[in-house]
Amino acid sequence: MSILKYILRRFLNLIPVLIIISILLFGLSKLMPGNPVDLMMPQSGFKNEQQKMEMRAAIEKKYGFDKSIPVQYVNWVARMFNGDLGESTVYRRPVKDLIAEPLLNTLILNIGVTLISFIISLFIGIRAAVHRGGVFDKVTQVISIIGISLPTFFFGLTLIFLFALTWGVLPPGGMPRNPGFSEMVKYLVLPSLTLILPSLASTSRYVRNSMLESLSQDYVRTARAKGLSERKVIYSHAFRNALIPVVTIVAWSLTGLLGGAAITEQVFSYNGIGRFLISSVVARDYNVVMALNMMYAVLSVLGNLLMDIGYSLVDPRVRLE
Amino acid sequence: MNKNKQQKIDNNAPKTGQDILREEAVMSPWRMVWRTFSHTPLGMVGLVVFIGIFILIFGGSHLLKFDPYFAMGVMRNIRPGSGYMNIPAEMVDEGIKDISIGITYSVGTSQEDKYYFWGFDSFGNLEMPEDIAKAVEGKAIKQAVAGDRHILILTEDDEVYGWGNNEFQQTVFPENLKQIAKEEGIKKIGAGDAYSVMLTDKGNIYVWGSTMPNRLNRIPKDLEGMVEDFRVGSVNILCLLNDGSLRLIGSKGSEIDTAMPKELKEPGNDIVSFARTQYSGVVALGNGEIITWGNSNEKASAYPEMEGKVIQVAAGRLHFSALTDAGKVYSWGINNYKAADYPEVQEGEQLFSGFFNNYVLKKDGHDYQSWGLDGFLLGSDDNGRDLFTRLIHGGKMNLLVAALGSLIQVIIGLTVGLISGYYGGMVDNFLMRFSEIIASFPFYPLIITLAAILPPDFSQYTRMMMIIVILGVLGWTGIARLIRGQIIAEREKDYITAAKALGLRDKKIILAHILPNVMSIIIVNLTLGFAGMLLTEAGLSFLGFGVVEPLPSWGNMMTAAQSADVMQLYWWRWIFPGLAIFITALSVNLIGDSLRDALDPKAMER
Repeated sequence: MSILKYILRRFLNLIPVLIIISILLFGLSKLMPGNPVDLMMPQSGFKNEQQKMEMRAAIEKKYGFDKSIPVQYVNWVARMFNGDLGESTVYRRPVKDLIAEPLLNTLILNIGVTLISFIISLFIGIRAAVHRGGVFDKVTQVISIIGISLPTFFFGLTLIFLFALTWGVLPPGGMPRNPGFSEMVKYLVLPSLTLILPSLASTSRYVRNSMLESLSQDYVRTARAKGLSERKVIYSHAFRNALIPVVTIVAWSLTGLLGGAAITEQVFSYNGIGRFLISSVVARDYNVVMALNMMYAVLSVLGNLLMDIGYSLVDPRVRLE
Repeated sequence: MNKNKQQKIDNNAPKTGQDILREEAVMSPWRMVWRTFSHTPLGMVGLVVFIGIFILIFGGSHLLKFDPYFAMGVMRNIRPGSGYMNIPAEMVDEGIKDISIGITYSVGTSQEDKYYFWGFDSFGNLEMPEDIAKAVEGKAIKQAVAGDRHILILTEDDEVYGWGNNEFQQTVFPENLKQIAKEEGIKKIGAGDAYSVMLTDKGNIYVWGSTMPNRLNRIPKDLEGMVEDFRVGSVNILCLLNDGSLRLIGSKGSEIDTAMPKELKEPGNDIVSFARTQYSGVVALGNGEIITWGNSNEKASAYPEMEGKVIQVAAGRLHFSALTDAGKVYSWGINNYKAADYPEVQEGEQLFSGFFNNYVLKKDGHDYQSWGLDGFLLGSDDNGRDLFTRLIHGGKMNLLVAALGSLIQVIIGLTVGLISGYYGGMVDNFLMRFSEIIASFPFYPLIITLAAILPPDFSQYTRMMMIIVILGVLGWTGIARLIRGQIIAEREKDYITAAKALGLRDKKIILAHILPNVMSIIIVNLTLGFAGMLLTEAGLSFLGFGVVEPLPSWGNMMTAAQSADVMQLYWWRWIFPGLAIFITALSVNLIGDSLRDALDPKAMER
């Protein structure tokens, strides 16, 4: 099967997936307690019941709540396609404008974290795999188990307790008050550390296992038999092949990080998308919650697709499946 | 069968290469796994720690009584510590004269008129300041009293000194009262919740400190010269007048006032001893009769059958104690912090109760017995709840949610994976698309959204069950994919072809032939999934979307730590639950990791 055909097939597969996701999300929003129209109604100031009903009907008409549920769904999807994510019932502003800043903040935090943890993981994973069973391997194995067992909020709180409250060297949380690189770094250090540890723990394990796998392959033995230097064997033969699954995992984890950073953002009062989601859920701001969930779903479906395509490019066997 | 054979060989197996081969050949796979596992030090440490935690939590939650709705504001935020009732040996040697009980500590005077403090200084300000120590040096201390968070002492020359919490100036003896004390002479002092009391020899009562909210700043005129004795409470004072009647001053309206029997409000009662809790009262009369009244929750009238005539009654915040002329003590009322778990006492002479502690003196004050709150092992939270108890019960919640959640996960994952892998084709395609849809929802956001959708009128337990189901239903896709892959690999093997050729039914092939081959994946995923679920649930509860107050869970116990005050001042409230989650997850992960190595012989060869 040619690569184009494969991509096309994967792409067509996405359509039903996206449709079902959107139906589920729309259904969820209808299940949420509390009526959005009630939330938008003024609390008082009506002359009589008649006026109240009229006001209600006007709001329902404006936001399309007077239509039947399937029609509402179709309208919602159509709006989504036009890039209109609806209006926040709390802030009375388009969702698109509201999520721009938190989204950017989250991306800054997460891309930095992913990059740093990826680079360090490569170093740790390769070294641990090459000297398998050595002291370095054992120590990093234990540390990585500790890393995946440490609850992010506990780790974050401990960092705040130590660095902000006890030693007072870094701000306990919040967003930088004035622009500038050093100011920004100051505010980003603790949340990044909180996110890096677990990500480092799991990524370095993947790298190690993937390296072990490829080091045991025949081509490595051949390379050694040819008399290549150990350096060359490890880096140009084993490592290149080991990298494929690692990159896909890291790419995949990036979409997960967007949501998974919610706790860290909450702990550090970092104005990111996860924290925005939490506050919107608490405030029952349905349009925002739906838009965010839809965005997450689309992102992760696309991430999945990119991962598969990338995989099929480097490993043609996948396409045959 | 295999096992017996194995033992024989094991017993006298010489260590040669050949025997190692023979050993492997006859060893059953599970024995082999256990053998490898038990030789992994980290895995064994994890197993031992986890079993310890498991026993502690499930045993402890059976032994420790627990009321999630309990709240006792006065006991809030107390540091870990114990030994609240250990009276200093010197004081016992000198002979105990008087004891006054505070929340985590007691003060008293010895028969040589010396001041003593014991128990736990939770706030670090209860030690007698140096200037006061200097001022009272050489003077006899007539009385020492403990309020909720402050201490007052009365010296022989009618001077009152105070220290501790001074938010309402309750430790500062006002100038005008000093003057009055000189003129009238002090009979007795008292310390309540953030207020202080003085009773003069002339029968007048004066209050200072926090007196505005409880209206203790206005003492009725008709009490002038009438007050004989008093008992402080949190917001009011019960006074015994010299005509034999009782009067409540301060905040009124609670049952201690409204339910007081009429005859006690009128003169002419032969009151030997009286005591009051928050909302109830008790009186011992000269004829040995006792009269109780008050809030029905406090069960003041539910006193046990007592041996002998009651000669003294005493009370803490919510419980009563009595001493009879047979020298025995009894306690009843609300048994918080074990305050009413009275011991068997012989020859008791004098009784002291306060807050949640009791002391009974024996042998002229040279011996004593005590019962009640000995301390909070891990401190208390902002509602005065024992953190250790909540940690145990919260852990039960966490472990249950995680265990059931990961079980659901594995069961769904296994079923889908088996069916999809074995049948392939359309079924496979459909199921995998479906799992892709589920996997496309990012985990945390969706769970937060779903948890928020749960109707608020759900009971706590229904809510928890729903959380478990949500966690289980969203997390199975990874396992399903793993098992499917394994099955596809197994499906093509010869033994399956043979089984099919023999005409075995699909069900039989799947359950009896394929399932055992994916068992190792299931077990490893169950353990690692359990650890992951533990952390997810904790995170969810931390954010306020999982198990919600007042039910405890390790996650929601840490929610309050988002404020800097709690983090810094009340560190025990977040460090202990955090450590609990961490250690539990770590032990499970260690087990899972070692299990994976033990179950996958290939990993050892590599």
